[in-house]
Amino acid sequence: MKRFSSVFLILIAAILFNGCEKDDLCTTDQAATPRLVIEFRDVLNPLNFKAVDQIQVQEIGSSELAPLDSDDSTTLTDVETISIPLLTDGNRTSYDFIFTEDGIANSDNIDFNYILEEEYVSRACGFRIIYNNLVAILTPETSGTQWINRTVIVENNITNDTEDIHVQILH
Amino acid sequence: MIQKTYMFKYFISILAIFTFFTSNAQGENEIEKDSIVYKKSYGLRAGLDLASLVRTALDDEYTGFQVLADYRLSDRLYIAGEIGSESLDRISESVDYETSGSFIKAGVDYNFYQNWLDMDNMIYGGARIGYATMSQTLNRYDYNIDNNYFPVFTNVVDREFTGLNMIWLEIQLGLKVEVLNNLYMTANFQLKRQVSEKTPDNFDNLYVPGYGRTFDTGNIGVGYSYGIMYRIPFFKK
Repeated sequence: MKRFSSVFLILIAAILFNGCEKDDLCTTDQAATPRLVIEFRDVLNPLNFKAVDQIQVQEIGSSELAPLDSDDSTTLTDVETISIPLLTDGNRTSYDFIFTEDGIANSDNIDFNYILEEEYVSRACGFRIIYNNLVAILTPETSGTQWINRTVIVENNITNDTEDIHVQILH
Repeated sequence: MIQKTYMFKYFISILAIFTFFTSNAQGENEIEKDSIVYKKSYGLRAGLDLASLVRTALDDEYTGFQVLADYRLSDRLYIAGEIGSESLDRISESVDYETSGSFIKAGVDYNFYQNWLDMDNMIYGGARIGYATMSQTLNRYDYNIDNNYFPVFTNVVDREFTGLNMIWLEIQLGLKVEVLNNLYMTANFQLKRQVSEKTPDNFDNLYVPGYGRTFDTGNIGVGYSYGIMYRIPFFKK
């Protein structure tokens, strides 16, 4: 009978262990909805980067500034690349790009249009969005000067924000 | 002196005869011991999984039912299997889903336990192949987003995926103990490995009847069962 009780104990332990399932955690190494990655380039020579002195970005429907990098900084200085989130419940996100140089702020607006596609990630993380057929439209201003000259789409399917650059802003 | 030798001879011969008889008797005893064979009961053993019934009572999100059976082939080997149905309606952080379906498991149990006298208990290892067919409904999901700039947009849907299935291999370690005549208590622990599955398009099998929950990280599953079984004896051998 000793053997039975020892096997029985092992079974109870196994059942209890099984009852304590590890929590399903959505870890950062799992795929997330990608951000839009933007590079700032020189309009006179588009092969060259041209850093912006100070940049802030705000979605037109939001009262807060958008995060610009993985640390979620909302103001960056002397920067060549930013990555900003896009809306997941529609086909458009409209952003004001607030460029500050020598204390003078200049805000230009760009509409980003795209087609949403859902992709299953995991039980813990749920789904994510990838953005297809990206189009960027610089809103013309009737008065004042625009700091952005034009935009160039480099990659129109946004699936990855760690390796890809999607849009260039030439200024 | 002559008489003494005679006496000795007499004594020795008696001793010899006695030894002969005793040894003979011993031999008889041994044969008799061998001839007492405790006959094993053969028949169909069927029962209920109490684990799924208990969980049905305790867990609002779960209903399940499982029938257990085995049939003795030889002293140590049994054909064994389980059949049942399960449904789970799970609310979790990122995904709410519902799974329901039925399953069958078939294989063998091998008894490692050397029974004493007429006992009929098992410490067994089992092998099974399992097949489940189920449907899964996605009820709600969130997007995995690395920032909280925009408000969380939750999708409430009713997306049903039917015709899903899974095949897996399973090993069991367990006990079957006779508590009353022909009535057994059983408990086991199960380790499973997926062989093939049909998953929903752009989604995954999150729970599989008979297999249990799946894990994001691999194709290994675990489970357990405990219940009661009754043997309908057909014959003794």
